[in-house]
Amino acid sequence: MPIDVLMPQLSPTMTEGRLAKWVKKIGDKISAGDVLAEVETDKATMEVEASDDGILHLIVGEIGADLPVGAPIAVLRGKDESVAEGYMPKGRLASSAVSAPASQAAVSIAAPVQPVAQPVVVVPAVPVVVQPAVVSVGRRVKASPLAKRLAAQKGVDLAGIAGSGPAGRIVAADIENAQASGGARRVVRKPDAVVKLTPMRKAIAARLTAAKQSVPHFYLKRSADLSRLMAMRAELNEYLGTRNQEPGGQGVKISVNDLIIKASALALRDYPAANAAWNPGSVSGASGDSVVQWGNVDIAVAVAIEGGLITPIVANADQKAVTAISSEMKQLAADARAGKLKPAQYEGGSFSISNLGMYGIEEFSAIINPPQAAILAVGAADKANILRLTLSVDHRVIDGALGAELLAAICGYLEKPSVLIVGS
Amino acid sequence: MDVRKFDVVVIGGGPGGYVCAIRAAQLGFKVAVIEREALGGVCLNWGCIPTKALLRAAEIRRLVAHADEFGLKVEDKGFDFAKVIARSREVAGKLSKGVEFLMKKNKIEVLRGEAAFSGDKELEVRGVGKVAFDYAVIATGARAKQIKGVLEADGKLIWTAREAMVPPEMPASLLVVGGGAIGVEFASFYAALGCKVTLVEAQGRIVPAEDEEISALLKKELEKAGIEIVVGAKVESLGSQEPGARNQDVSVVINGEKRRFARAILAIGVVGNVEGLNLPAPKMGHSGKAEGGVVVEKAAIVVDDFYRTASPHIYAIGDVAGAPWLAHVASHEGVIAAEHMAFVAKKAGHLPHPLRYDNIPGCTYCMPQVASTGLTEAVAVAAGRKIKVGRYAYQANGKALALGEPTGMVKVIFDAATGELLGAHILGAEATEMISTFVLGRSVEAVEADFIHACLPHPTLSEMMGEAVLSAEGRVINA
Repeated sequence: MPIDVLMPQLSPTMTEGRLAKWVKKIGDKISAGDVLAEVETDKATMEVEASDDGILHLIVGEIGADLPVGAPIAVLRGKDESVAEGYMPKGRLASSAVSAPASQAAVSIAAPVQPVAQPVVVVPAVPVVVQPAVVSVGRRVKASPLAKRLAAQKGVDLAGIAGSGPAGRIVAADIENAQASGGARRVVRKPDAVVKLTPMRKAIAARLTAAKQSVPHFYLKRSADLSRLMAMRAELNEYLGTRNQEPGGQGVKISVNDLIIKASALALRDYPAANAAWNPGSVSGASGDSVVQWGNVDIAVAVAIEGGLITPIVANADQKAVTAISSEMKQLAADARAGKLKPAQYEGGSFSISNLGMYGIEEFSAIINPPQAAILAVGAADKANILRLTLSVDHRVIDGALGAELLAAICGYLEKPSVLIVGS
Repeated sequence: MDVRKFDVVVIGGGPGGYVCAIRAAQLGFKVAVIEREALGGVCLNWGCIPTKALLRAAEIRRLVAHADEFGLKVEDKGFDFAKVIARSREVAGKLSKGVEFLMKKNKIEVLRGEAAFSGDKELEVRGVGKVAFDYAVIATGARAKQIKGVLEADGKLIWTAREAMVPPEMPASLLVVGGGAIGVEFASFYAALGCKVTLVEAQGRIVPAEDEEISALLKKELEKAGIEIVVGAKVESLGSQEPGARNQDVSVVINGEKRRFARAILAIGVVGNVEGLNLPAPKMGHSGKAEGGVVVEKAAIVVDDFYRTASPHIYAIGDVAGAPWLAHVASHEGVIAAEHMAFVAKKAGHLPHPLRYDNIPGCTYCMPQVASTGLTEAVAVAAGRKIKVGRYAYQANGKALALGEPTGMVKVIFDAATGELLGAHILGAEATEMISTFVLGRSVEAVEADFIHACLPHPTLSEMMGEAVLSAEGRVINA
């Protein structure tokens, strides 16, 4: 009996995957555990492994197609097995409303007598850019064929040019004159591009829209004087610098962000009521009946990666030394950029930090990353070492007073840096 | 005597003057044309039209010579030269009458006589009297160029084009000095009627304004037709008065070699008729520079884009305003001048569009014909253009073979980057008719795609234009 290969759920939050690449071809001999294909999920690119032995008989998943978890993507058959012509794999979809993609996807079948693989229909790799027709603005522009071609070649907008030809027609000389006078480049309209969303962008869009719409945010702003922290950090880094040159030195250099992670973790430890999450009760329900008090202080830190962002987690940050946090964060950020984070490294977390200080942002307000109840937005310290912090808070979990105490505690730790070093 | 007053007075009733007069009348001006000879000018009376009538006789004779190839039994019993000439005159006369009719139709007064300026806004027309004007248009044309003491016509043995089209008899041998359009046409005509013709050209090739490839092909064809061609020729001692020689022929030294011909034609260019007009002289202005008047340089009146002379109410058009000396250019200039006057005087219409001198077709009605517009290949390359060249031979065209005209080619030059048609050059039957399509294409700034997308009729010679364009794109079908 042929074995249907379905889109696996490769992470707890994955609802659909995009087929990035077929590693095996139709007709290839497959052993259980072989990588069949690569799938892009909302978090990372992951491998789809075969769970059975056999021959890859049929591929129904097109490259670039977004297929729900449980949708059929391929068929395996036994070595000498013959599969009925027209056999189509059946999916096990979470929702029956999702139609089987096989009916739409291009199908390539290798005839049993012809084991040589037929090429899979390849859809252009993402991102797919759709060029919509250029919408002509206003009245018809009268221009000679040569003028039109020159305008297109030189990126000149015909609408901005006065024609000198018969009946005001734009002629080639007008394009050249307009270019020479430098006026032609004033208005350049280019066609809009429609860029297909990557699974990650879809996830970001869905989660942040839901968060901003359903979580009752409020915002608290406070400044922290980092003068002492900066002095201590310089001293610390100088010391670590000499240590790093010794054999076995780990190249650790403490960043301001590492210290903010630690300060936040200690503050959350001090205010466990704030280290909590709204428990929605049901998957879609907004009317929850409980709040989850996190057992650990796990700090999620937003890391910008190509095409989006991800929030790797420094688990039990309240218990870790700043140097350990620093090393761990460095590794997590590198893995995040390389797309190598494992789900356990970015799922969960009790509190988030988003730092745009390195971009010169003075202060901003962040959107809470549910189910977490707070996120700290960090700006850039000014010349006087004053750092502006904005705490976005889920009012269902944390009231104003508690939020204020939490932010005051964070600022307090930042202003008493020696405690950051010993306070664990 | 009363001074007659007109809004616009046009001096000269040639293809520039009469067309200008009609356009001015259409625009509501009261117009007079002053003409000392026949309406229609050189073009109609002594140039384009009568020579085409002569060449038609030569073409028919050539067809008769090939009649057998078509399975026709036609005997060539020679020709009645006087009748050939008479027909040419008849055609010219008919057209001149036609212009007279056009003048009446447009209520344009024709004043017969020679004109000279007699005041700021006044002309004296000999035999007519004084004529006042708001605007004057000098359209007095040009005449054959001669070089005093070197290349001079005597009207009997050494002709200009004017005498060459009304010869009393067929000369036994003929020297044509000048390998431009006029010289080549006369050489072709006389050779076709059996005259022994020698064509000499001072430059390195005949029809030197044409594309080099076309020029070389034409030379080959004219030589096949029995014409002796000498290029790079230095002509000296052209004369009919050699001591001791019979007074009935022409002696000449060509490249140091003494030659004799029954007759000679001077076709070395034309020179503007600027004399006798008493043109107003420029005056010294306040700035110390000459101002106003009518300025003449190298026998041509200096004009601006709208053919105004240094005096804004005096215009000059056509041959008298300089090259290119072509009837169709003169007519266009006349229309633009008239429209400009209307715009200035009546605020009527709009400022006319200046004529594009880079898209003037040149036509030579020899056998085979030559026609072109735009840049030659060499000029395009010299101008730094990256070009694509397409060629198509007549011998690959069905209609050309059916007509028995397998000689010739269509050559097109495109800008490789923009697809602009830079130039088109045709040699062969009906080349002068076909070139119009390319002129129109250049006029509307068509690119190669426009020519390719046009469905041209079959079977025609015109198809070759499409094929030549395809050839430039490396996708010719029928070759």
